[in-house]
Amino acid sequence: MPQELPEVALILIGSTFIILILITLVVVSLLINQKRKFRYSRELGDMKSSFEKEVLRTQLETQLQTLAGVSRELHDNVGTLISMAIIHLQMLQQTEKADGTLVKLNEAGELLKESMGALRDLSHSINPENMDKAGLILVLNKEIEKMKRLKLFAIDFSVKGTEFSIDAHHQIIIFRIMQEAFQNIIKHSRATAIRVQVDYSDGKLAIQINDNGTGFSQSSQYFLDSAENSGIKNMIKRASLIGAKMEIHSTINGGTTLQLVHQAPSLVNT
Amino acid sequence: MTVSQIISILPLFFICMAAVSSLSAFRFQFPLSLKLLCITWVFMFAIELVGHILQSKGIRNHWLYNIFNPLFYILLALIYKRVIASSAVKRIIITFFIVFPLFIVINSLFIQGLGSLQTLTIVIGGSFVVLLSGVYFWQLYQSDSTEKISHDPFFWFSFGFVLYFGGTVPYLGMLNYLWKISQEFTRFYFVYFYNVFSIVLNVLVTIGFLCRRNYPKLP
Repeated sequence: MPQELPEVALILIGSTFIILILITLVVVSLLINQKRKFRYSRELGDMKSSFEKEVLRTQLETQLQTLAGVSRELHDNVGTLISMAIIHLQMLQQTEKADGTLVKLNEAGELLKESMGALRDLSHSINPENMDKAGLILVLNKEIEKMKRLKLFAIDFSVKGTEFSIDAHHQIIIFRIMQEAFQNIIKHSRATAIRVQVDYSDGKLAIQINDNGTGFSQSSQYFLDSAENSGIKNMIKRASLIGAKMEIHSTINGGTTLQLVHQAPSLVNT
Repeated sequence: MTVSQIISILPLFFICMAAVSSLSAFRFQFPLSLKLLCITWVFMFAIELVGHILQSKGIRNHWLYNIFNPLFYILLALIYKRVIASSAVKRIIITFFIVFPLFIVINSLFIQGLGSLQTLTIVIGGSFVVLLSGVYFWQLYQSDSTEKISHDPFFWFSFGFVLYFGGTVPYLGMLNYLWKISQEFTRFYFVYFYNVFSIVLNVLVTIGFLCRRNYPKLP
């Protein structure tokens, strides 16, 4: 064996070993760096999500406060003014004898009474406190009655189970989601029949709205991922804000189904 | 069949495995760089097969590798030119395309000739591929992408190339010298070290080809 072989072999094996150690270090540091990057990106995502939730919560609270203020104003101020106008008209009816004028005064009085009724309904419907007192089923029923008056759809409304109490804020959000869904049906669906099913069972409130309208091809995830702030995206985000799960299934010419599932209050932690 | 004979044949099976798995590049919508690497690997399998047959018949196969090795390094550089984003490195690769073939001609005519294994070509080409793999690692290190690097085929390929070339270039570079001083040690190192590096490279290339199937459609 030549004298230089052990030395050459040692250099060769040693250098190969050192190279392998260096490569291992590079790859390990690359993997560690990526783990760190993932953690940072996840934390950033969580922060963004909680910030968005906070913004939405603030927006909703502001909206509810504004609605409560408008409702009070309608009831206390505008309502009082209309009531006074009705009293004045009634006094005029007692003093005025000319036939033509009396008929017109009667008509004006009826219109004012009708306005007063509509104003009271509006005041009640937008006041979060009233909604809380009346309960979700009653306000939903009223909304459906309003839609029925449009005479555009055949509406079937059914309730299964016994209504349980839901947090007032959650109830308002659910009701606003339903209102938005009804508005979407009126504006876009071209449906002729709607079925609204409310189910209070297994500690859950499940609401399902079906229509037989033109439908659409996009999924719920599409709206969530969309950069635009669509109505459906807001509905889904509002639902998630109260810990509810909302899904929309639709096919072109196959109608649309909206499902919202909300846990019983004891199970919700928002 | 002795253990060393079995170990000598084993890399051929792993190259075959990598070449077969690389064919998936044509089944799915893989980018051009992966399709090029697939062609390279199928070509490499053919060369290794011929090399083994020649060796088993006692015919010198150095000329075969003197032709294949430069092509292999140029193809790898071409593939890396497509995946490395740095324009400076792309310019270096273009320079390599001009300088490296010139060097091979000079080496074949004036320095090492065609009769023995052109170890200088292996050292320069292999070191260049290690450099490109290092650049790719640096690109991954600086990337903002949140995609797992284990789903990146070029992470596996680069890992394989740095291990293979890092481990074999010192040996192949000294091969002619080692052969002169001890044929026994040269054979021993080839069988137990070189072949292991070759197997590791082909396992990592196989993982690279199979780690991901969904690629965004190119416009």
